[in-house]
Amino acid sequence: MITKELKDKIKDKLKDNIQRKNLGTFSEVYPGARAKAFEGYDIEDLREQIANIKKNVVKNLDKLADQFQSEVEKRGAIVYRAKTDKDVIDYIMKLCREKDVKLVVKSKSMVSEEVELNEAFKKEGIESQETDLGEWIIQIAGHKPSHMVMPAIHLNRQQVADYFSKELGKDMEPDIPFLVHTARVQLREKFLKADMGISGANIAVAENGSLFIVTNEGNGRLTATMPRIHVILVGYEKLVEKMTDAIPILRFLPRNATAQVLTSYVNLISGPSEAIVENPDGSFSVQKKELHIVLVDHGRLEMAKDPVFKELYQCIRCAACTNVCPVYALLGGHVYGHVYSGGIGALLNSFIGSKNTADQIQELCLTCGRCTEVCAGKINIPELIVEMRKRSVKKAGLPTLPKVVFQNIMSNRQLFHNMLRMASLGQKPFKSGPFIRNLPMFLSGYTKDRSLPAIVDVPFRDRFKGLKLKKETKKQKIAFFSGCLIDFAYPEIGEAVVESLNCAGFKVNFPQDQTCCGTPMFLMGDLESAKKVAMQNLDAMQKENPDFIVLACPTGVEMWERYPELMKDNQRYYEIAVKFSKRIKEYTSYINELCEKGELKLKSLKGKGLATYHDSCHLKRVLGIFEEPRSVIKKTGLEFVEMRHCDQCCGMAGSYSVKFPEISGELADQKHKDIMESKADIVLAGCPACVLQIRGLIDKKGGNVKVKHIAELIKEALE
Amino acid sequence: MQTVLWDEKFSGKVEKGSFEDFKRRAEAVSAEVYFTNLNDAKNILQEIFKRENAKNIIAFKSDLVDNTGVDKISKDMNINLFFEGGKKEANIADIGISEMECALAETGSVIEWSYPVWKRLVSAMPNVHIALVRSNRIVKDYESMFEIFKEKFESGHISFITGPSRTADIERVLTIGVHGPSKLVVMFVEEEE
Ligand code: SF4
Ligand code: SF4
Repeated sequence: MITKELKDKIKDKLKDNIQRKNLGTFSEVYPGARAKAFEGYDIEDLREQIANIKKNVVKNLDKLADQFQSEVEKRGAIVYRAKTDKDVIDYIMKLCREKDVKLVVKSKSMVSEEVELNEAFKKEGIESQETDLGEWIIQIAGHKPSHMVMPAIHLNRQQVADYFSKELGKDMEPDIPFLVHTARVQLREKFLKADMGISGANIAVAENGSLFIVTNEGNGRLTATMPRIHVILVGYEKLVEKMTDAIPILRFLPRNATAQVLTSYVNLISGPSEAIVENPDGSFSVQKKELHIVLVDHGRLEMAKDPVFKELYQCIRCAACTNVCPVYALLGGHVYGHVYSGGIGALLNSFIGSKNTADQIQELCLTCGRCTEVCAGKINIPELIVEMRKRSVKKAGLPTLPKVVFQNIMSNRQLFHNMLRMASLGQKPFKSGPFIRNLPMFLSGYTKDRSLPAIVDVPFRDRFKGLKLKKETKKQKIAFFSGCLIDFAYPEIGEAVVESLNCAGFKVNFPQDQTCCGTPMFLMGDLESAKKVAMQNLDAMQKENPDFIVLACPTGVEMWERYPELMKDNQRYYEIAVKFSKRIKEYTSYINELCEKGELKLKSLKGKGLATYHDSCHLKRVLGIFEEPRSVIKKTGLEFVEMRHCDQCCGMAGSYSVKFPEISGELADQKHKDIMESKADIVLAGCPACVLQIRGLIDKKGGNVKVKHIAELIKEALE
Repeated sequence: MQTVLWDEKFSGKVEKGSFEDFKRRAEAVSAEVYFTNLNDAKNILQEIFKRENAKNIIAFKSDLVDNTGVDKISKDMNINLFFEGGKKEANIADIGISEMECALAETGSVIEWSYPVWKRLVSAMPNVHIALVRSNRIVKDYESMFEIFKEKFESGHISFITGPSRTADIERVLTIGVHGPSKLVVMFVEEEE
């Protein structure tokens, strides 16, 4: 259940025009700037290197942590291992008391946000000063960071000027260079007087106890230089084995974070260096600095032991994932909890920091996969989110309604299909009570931003029998697996698929015993129900033993590819699943292949309008299919134009539109705008759920545009 | 504690980077880059002192810094020059001058051996930092740089300095000069045979 508190926050953030403008502008320029920064580098190779370096670290974490500690100690610095947030605070407060520390300057440290160090200093009566400009702004504003790298991105210059005016007691002009200069002058004073500097670190090298601190403003340098004591807070995930492991990280981090080749400063610190110690009489002497390194657990060691979530160690906190996340772009960071934001934030927060809200905020993820494409450590964020959902269902049990639906209705094909047929009989089936409204996917009742398709009177499974198919010329047999949406809402897509394949010479059949692919149950963590339907589908196919199984639905393809894993405890079904998973063909890529091989000839649709293509998240980013559908569209001779943000989620995302209708509505708005601006007459997609969403939003918001599945286009072009 | 990172043997050992690559990268992040000899270096320094209207300069002593004659130039121009001091001197200085260990062409960075606190103050506190680099010390890439670390970095503090200090924390608008220098001048100096 999504709490009212979260819903209210979402509504608030959607209304925050300043934040939305800042984030909107940034997400527009980021991808191009990033690509430019990476020119001449093999991005994939670097990602692979970083992922491997970090995988190695998790494997040898204890050993590397011990080595790091002893190397640091050898060089004369002090290492403290903090288990909890309280340990971090106690250690630092004790140090402050012992060393008579009155003023602390801080450069950026996520760990200090995690443990709420500033609050602790306040209680202790010690002045702590954030010196990173963004951190200082939010410190005086009393906010939490809204982005891992750009903590004050939710504010504009006028707001910053207002906060500065209040803090400094004089009127400030909203002029950015002036505000930046003011910060320089104000914070210089603090640097000169500070007794202790606290900073984070980006890389900790086990082999020689070195730390890399990557910054832009120069506050990191001053924090490390001016005070007599320097405390570095570093989480276990920052460890690497060797010095040279830092190379790919240094190459990747600034480019991915802010599209910079390198930040202005990288400080490489190994053991204490010199410090100036001032005496009460105004004289000073140069001494060895007191350097403390706090190695922080706070949930990280548990994370390292988790067979699945240890993948989170591959995160280098570049925030690129949030930079491309369509949900983050709408909401900003504050809804995600107090430290880490975006999809990765939901995951990290479930181990570190605001644990209690993690279950809620992971729901915000569309599992659209944009983050994974850019992730420095190749973390499969949506897959981990799905795993988290499964675990939370395991822990709390399925909510009653889906449970009833999955276990009593959907696992029983006849009952399920009868219910769907019955639903088609009612005039307004979607208003007939909570039961229907909560059926997964296309039966949801939210119609604010798009119209929903009616359940057809005659589903595809019945219409199939009436199709007039040609006698096959090929030996191979194809079975069509339609999925619920094509079967009960868009039978015409099914007909187009079958007819086009038949036209290429295949005998195409529709095994009548097939049922729901199992995705809704799988995603909700109800593996038992998912297995049940999977077995029915496998049985249905086994009877026919087709050479290929064609699907025109990317989530269905994904689900079929999961069947072997799902069936791993059942030898018989496992074998069938493995056999068929190798025979799966995704429609758009397969039809393109057939055209290229000359096995299917298309007539030209030249002059029949301007087409554009919407990339389904799963088709593009999970299955890696995006060239083939474009190529096949062009083969029909239609004029083609790319719409802007062609691969941004349409907002459908399974039951997402039910859980977060406002966010889904915003994404739908954006998609609508992009389609209109493309001036296309036809929008094509390779996924029936995207067709549903886009047809619905065109219907609701207007526009003289036809929305079609690629199969329907191909049907028109059949000779 | 070691006082330098560079060793002359590296000149023959590590892969050299090109000045053009360095310059392109460094200028892309608003650094001012010169390739000059000792004689011209004097003129350039003089120009910069004048342009910045410098009253106080702090510098970290090294042969290269000495050879550029900053001492005499400052005297002639009536500028206070400090070769040592504390936070107070660093805070009033308009310009800091110091010699770097080498430059890194891949990123357009200069590499400072930062163990001495005065050296860090010289490069971090004033509004302008003039970084002198011997012209034969341009290292090609990270790999070559890390070979040097492997050989010569036991402990201490090293800084990669890449352009002036910058922020984009307000509305993502790039603004130069936050806590560190707002101008970084890199001068590669060819020493006479
Ligand atoms: S999968 Fe999509 S919605 Fe989820 S975190 Fe990644 S980019 Fe955001
Ligand atoms: S999850 Fe990946 S992209 Fe996101 S902050 Fe971590 S490393 Fe960067």
